[in-house]
Amino acid sequence: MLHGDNAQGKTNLLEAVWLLATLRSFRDSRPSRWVRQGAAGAFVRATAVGHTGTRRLEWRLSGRQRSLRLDGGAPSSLADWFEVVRAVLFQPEHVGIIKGGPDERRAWLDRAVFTARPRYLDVARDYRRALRQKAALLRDGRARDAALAPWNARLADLGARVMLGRHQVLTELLEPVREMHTAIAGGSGDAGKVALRMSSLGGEEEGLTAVRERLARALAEAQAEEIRRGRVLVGPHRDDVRIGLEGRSARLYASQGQARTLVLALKLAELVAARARGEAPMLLVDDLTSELDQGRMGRFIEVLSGLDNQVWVTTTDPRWLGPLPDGETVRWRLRGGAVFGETVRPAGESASKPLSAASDPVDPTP
Amino acid sequence: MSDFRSRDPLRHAVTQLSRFPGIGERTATRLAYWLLRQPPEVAAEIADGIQQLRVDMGHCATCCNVSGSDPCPICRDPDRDTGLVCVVERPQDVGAIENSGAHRGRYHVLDGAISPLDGVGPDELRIRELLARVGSGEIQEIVVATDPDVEGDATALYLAQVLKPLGVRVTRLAHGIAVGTEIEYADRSSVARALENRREM
Repeated sequence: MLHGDNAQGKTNLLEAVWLLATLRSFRDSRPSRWVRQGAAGAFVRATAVGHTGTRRLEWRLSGRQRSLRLDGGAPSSLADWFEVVRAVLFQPEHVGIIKGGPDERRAWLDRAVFTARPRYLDVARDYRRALRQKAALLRDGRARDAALAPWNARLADLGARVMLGRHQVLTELLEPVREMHTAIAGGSGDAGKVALRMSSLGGEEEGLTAVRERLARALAEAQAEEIRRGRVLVGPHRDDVRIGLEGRSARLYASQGQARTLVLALKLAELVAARARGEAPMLLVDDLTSELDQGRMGRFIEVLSGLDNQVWVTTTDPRWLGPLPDGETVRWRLRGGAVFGETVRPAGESASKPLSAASDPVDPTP
Repeated sequence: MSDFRSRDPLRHAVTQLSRFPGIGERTATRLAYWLLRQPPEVAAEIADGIQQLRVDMGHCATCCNVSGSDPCPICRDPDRDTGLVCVVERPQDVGAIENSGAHRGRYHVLDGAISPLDGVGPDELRIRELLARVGSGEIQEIVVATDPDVEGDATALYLAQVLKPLGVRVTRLAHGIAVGTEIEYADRSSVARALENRREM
């Protein structure tokens, strides 16, 4: 648990962990902005203990050059690197997954598919690349059938893989989402059934060949319209995740509180689904301050305590969180970019007394 | 230009040397000082070698590879299988496949891959020349050895699309696990690609 006033470096620390897990920032996509002003470069170094053992990770940026070291040497592939640290992130703005546009839902699901199947990264990247190539061709005005055919073939193949990856992971998440949603919402009325499905695929299982052929047919049918409008109109880049709550669209009908609970349930479900694969991603929760009412917050913390995953939470006021599990919680206070507090102890040994604020906790559990 | 040179020859040499890809100013400076320590003919020989490269090298009219003669030595070689042509993106890919010693046919250099984002369509590549070669009748099989990326894949599909109607066999280089790599140590993408490209035994 990382606590401290605003702008003291809490999120910075979380960002560093996320960077090791995904090689991306959740704040700014431009690596040049990750470097302290006036500095020539930046680095993040960590020792991670996980399902691949004790590993040393080092990420370094100097100029525009990124370099990675895994156990002191260059990793043989990015897949090897991503194997080491897996993480699921929650930020307050993720409520947009429920209330925002389809792009936010796709971004969440793609991230979840990547966490579950790191190879999906290649497929999603190649799909986006092929999409941009075909869009350039459509705008170029030279788009004729013979020139479009190879791009449509690539898009049908890559697009089908994207659709199946999303569909499979969404299917794996459904039961865990329901379970986690009930656990956080408690008996407060909206604990009803959550529904998840892609807008493009029904519930039925389809093989790669069938999906590929269906997408190829749809691309062929849309060809004239695509040429006329200069845009790629069919494919998983236009897909949406339908999230339902008690038989109604959560995007349209969920209250702010219900939406927050649903997002947390989605994130926790990723952890539960990972357990079935023998993995335990970390959960990074940025700014858990005024997200939930006391009842839901208490149950959320309780659910977290029951999971085997390492959880990093930042908050301005630890009292919001209520009591945290004894002996399993490390409290760090951040001030001016420096960390104050306990050293990490092996599990089982009791942690020392909290440094601040939490000495007078408000008990939110009913 | 000449008065620029007379001002600081060392500076000028460093600027020119650092135009090579992969050579930064520090390496260029080291090379310049090294040249100063050598007998004068060394610099002249290097300069001549570089200059002759552009003067003497042209393209083979048949395979479009860079070559000092037309036709190039590979296209002239009577021991090569004229019915088998390997299509590559770049001249340096010819070298890579030649080094394998496994290809006994000839080559065709496309000079790139289809990439609408870069304004490169089939007309910008040496595809017309390839179609003309196939049209002359001797070629039975085209081995497409474009890169295994989005552009290389699309180029391969385009080639298959325009070549197959001409009655020529079109194959693609297999991609997968590198030789010398044990399966347990191969990365996921390679294993997946190798599985997709598996062959009947």
